[in-house]
Formats: sequence, C-alpha cells, structure tokens
Amino acid sequence: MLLMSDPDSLDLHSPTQDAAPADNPCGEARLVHLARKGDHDAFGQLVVRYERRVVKVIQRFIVDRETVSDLTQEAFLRAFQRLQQFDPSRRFGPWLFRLAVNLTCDHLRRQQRRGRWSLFASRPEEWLTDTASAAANRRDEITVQVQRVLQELPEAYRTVLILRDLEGFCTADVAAITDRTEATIRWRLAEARKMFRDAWERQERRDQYVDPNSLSANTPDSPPTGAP
Amino acid sequence: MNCTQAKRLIQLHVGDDLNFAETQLLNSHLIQCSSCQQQHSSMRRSMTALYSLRDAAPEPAPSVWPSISSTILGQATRDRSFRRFNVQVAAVSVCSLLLAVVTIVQTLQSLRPSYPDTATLWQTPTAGPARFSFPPKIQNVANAAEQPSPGPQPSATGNWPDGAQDF
Repeated sequence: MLLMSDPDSLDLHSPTQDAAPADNPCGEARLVHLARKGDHDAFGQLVVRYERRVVKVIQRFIVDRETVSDLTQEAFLRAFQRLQQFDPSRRFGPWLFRLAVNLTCDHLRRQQRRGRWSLFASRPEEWLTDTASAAANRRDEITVQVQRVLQELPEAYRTVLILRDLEGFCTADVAAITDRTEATIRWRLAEARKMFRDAWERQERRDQYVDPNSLSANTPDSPPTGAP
Repeated sequence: MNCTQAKRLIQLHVGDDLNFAETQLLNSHLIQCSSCQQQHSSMRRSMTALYSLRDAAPEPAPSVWPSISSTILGQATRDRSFRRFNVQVAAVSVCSLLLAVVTIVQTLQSLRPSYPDTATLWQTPTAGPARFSFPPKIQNVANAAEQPSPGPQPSATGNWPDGAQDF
C-alpha cells in the first residue's frame, strides 16, 4: 500500500512536538474513511490524535485559554461536518490544520473589526501571569517581547512564521495549510523572518533607550535605589 | 552571487530551508563578505529569540473530545428529530391544503345563483326552431326602437321646425 510504504506521507511532526499524528498513517486513512461513513468513534480517535497539536497551533495566535478551547472544538466540529468534502486522496492533517488556522484568523479579524482588540484581547502579559513560573526572569521577558513583536507582523507573514518556525511544519505542509504554493511560502517565510528581525531589533533598541538600567535596578544583586 | 541574493538565502538559511547547493553557494559568499556575515549573525540572533517561544506555550487544556462528542451526538439527535418533524409537517400541510381547496370549491358552488339554462330561458314556447330574443325589458326597448319615427311634426301654430320645411 502506498501509504504504508511512504513514511513521509504524513510528515506533520515537529521537532518540538509529539509526533502522534504521524505514527500510523495507514490507520489514519482507515479512521478517516470510517469517520466519513459516520463512525463516531473513528472520528473520536482522530480528535484524540490531533487535538494537542491543534490546541498548540491556535495558542500561537490567541492566548486566552477559553477562546483557544472554543476554537479547537469548533475546528473539529467543522471538520466532522465537512468530512464529505474532504478529498481522501489528500492528507487529513493539513486539511484539519487549515480549518483551524482559518477559524483562528477569522476570529482575530472579527476582533479587529469590532475595534475591541485592545480591550478584550488577551495579551502576552496575561500569558506570562498564566504560566506556572511567572516570576520575572529574563526568559519570560523575552517570551513576552517576542510575542509582542509577532503581533506586529501582518497576518499572512505571522501565520507562515508560526507554522514553520514555531510549530515546525515543513514548507510543503505550510503550503497545504495556507493553500499557497511552496514558492510563495518560501518567499513569505524569508520576508517574515526579515520583518521579525527588523521588529525585534527595533524592540531591543526601544528597551535600551527607554530604561537602560531598569532591569539591573530590579535585580536582587543590585543595590536598592538610594542605598549608600 | 551578489549581496541581495545572499540576503534572501540568509533569511532561509537560518531556518534550515536551503538545499545543499544553495547552502554551499551562500557559504562561499559569506566567507568573502563581511556585510552579509553581519546580516547572518543578526538574523540568527532574532531567530534564537523567536525559538525561545517554542517551549513557552502553556500546558494544553484537557481533552476537548468529550464536549465535541456530546455536541455531535446532540446534533445527530436534533437532525433525526428534525427529519421526523419534517415528514409530519409535510404530510399535515398537504392534507390541510387539499381540504382547504375542496372547501373553497364547495363554497363557491353553493354561492353560485341557480339560473336556468340560457338556451331554454330565451327559447320561444311556440313551435319552430329556437330563436334568440332579448329579455323582456330589453325587448321593450328594442320594440320601441323598431317603431318608425313619426318625423318632424308641425307645431300647433302650423309652423314647421327650422330646416324641416325642405322635406
């Protein structure tokens, strides 16, 4: 069978991610086939295979946990409802992630249209307070700053950057998820990295210019302000 | 390779998106171009910062499958009941429509005046073929129209009206 002899046919693994979806592509094709026939349990197995990865991808765009959970559920429900439109000769993973990314981008656009982005959208700072190790260590600061810089990028470039560099999808998968050609993705990827580099350097310069000693003043090693 | 081409390759090289030949080409350029070396190192710095976000995602929430499963089952139940409901409504609607049509037809027939047949109404009772004739009121008007006009008459004084003397 073609799928069995082609281990890369479901190359959705990430260097930072559990590779569960790519474990058994043949089994996955069978599950998709059964789910298309209305097998509830088969679709359940697909959900269990992919849900962690889908949650992670959506979390790259949206920080609010409830919204992430809602969007994840909506993505799977939409996948179930549209299973008849799915082309079985193609891979299930990119199709599912395309649904999830499109839903997420639609959600972000709706938020921006409503003009409530700055009021209700979760911010990187919230993420920082959510993490267990929320202490203001240097790594968390970098994380927040990176998140902030990512938010400045245009949506198309941010999507490519997140999928390729943060989630580790290969270029072909990013092309399938975003419904673009691989050449377009390569071009966008180069542009996105350049944009990120420029924005990151601007951010660093801004931080140095605004308060060059703030970090050292707050560190435990430094003497308190006004101390002799 | 010029520096513009090299910069584009640098942007792809920092994410391991170059093939072997492209990497060789870029490396040969980097050896002799300090400007591109600086570009390469600054790009690497920013990518290192970006990669710090990889492991920083919060712990994923509990499985969403239970809620998805209940939603799917609920939708299936609603769909089934909706289909049943549709059949019933369609059947009842068709019956009601037929009943309404029959009732309307019967009502119209009962409201219609019971005139005799027009062919027998105006047929003369005497022998001979049926002849069309006007109804009684119209008949009088028709008879009056058929009587010859007396024509202009002289007034009591014996004068004819104007223009009547020529006749």
